[in-house]
Amino acid sequence: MAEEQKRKKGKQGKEADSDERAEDLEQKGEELEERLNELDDLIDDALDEDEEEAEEQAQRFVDGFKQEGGE
Amino acid sequence: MAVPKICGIEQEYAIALAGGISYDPIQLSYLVVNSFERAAAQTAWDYAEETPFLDARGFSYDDTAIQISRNDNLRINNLLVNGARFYVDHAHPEFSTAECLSVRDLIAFDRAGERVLDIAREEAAKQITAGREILIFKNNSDHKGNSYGCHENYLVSTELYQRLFMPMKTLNGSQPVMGVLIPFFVSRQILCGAGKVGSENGTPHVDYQISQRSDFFEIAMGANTTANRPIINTRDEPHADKTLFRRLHVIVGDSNMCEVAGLLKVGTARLVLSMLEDNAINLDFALEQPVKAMIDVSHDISLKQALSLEAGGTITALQIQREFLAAAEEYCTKPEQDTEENRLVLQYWREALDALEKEPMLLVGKLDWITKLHLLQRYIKRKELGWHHPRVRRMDILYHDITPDRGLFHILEREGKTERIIDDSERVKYFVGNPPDDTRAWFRSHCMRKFGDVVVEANWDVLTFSAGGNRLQRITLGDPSKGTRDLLEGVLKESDTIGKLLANLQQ
Repeated sequence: MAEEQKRKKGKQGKEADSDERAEDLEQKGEELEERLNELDDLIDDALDEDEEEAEEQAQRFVDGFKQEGGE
Repeated sequence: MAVPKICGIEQEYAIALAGGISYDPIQLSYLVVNSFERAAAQTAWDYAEETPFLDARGFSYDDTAIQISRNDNLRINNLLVNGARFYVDHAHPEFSTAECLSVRDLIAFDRAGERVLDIAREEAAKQITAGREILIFKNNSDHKGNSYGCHENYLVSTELYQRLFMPMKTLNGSQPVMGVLIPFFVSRQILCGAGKVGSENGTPHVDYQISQRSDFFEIAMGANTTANRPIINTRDEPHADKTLFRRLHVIVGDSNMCEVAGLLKVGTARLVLSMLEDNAINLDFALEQPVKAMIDVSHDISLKQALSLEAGGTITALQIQREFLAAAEEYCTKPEQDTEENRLVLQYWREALDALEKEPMLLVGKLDWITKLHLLQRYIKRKELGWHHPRVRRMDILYHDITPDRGLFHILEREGKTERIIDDSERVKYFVGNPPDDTRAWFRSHCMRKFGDVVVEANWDVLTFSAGGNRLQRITLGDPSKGTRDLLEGVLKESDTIGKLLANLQQ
């Protein structure tokens, strides 16, 4: 009986730890999301797209990116 | 005890001209490869040491020696002062790192390779029509059904190599290749896949998948690399004393931009191989359909895909990795494996699996497939595009551009949004012009610096010197852990001529 209780307690403890870790991870994820929001402008700058011609330019780039198999 | 897990990476880079201008990729690759400073002007690559058709299972597909003129050899191969080989392979510039003893050094060296390519790209651009720009990408697919590799090499004992590939040797009922290595590599992609929009090679449609390479694997084992690609490559080309050592040539991995992904790719594989060598792994996850599993894992970004086991039942890639991690944690309690570097690998391995299970977003800047997925999802939402829009496909490719001010990964890194595992970025710069001190690469490199005018040919494990007239003399470097700075710096200093060097080495 005592062993059964000990096992249950241990299991509950582990579950609590796991819940805590999950909450911690979730919170860290939200913080990271906020920090990554700042990147949108930088990415847009790097992509250097003219909205009116972006699709055509991208299509030309993708079509031109042709490699031969290697290894 | 396991042999030191000396390792290296061979990276084939994609090459193109900006503006969609047509070009000959082979000529462009020659131009780039020959635009970087050589260790010695007249040192050619020694193809006599290459045995690409010899199979680990004890047979050969072809025994024709590679025939190539000396002029072509010098044009194809540029042996660098850092001990790397920079050369033209098929229609790609390829950078093979020097042999490294530490995983962190290998990641730094791989990144030094990006710098070498970028320097060579800039130099080469001066020789082409003004205004044209050469583009170089560290990825593995052109999204049109063509793949090019990022191969890893691991030093293993001959005993392990024979145990892996001889069909009669078994471990827990399955060959260790089927029960351990294949499931390990099939599941490892969740840590080190580089991410890709769409699917190729006739595999089912997906918007986004974990690996750039998985669509291209068609058989479980084989010696080929260009067609019928195998999950386990059986090319028996040791580049070392074959009575003691073999090289496990791993072709199943993606190229990594994220340092953490690179650390996990190599660090986890080294631990699994060491455990196999020390008979310290008691797992058997032989998969019913390894090739299908490879594709299924890559195509499922939820990581819920159940894989059927030969012994019955199913398992996910995450669960397989958890089991390997637990075995490695146990193994690393041994004093000789309880190293700072192994602890670092275990820490990232554990953190990555926890985050993949609970909050994958935490791995932005650490794992490539998650980082790229995040960037693309945000972009798709902001611009109201579909996954297969050309703007999204272009962005996928630009993630891998090696140019620091243009590549999307490099922009994240510049802004401090990626995790670095190399404490000192000077280490990357160092490896652009220097070999590691603690492998035979040190001796090979310094021999070429000092005696370059008489080093006729070189390979990883052989240096051939002109000893006057038509006489040639060879130094073999059969043990990759010898030829280090500690062992041979004094000998090299005391040797003014090649004759004296050979005499001093014999003492």
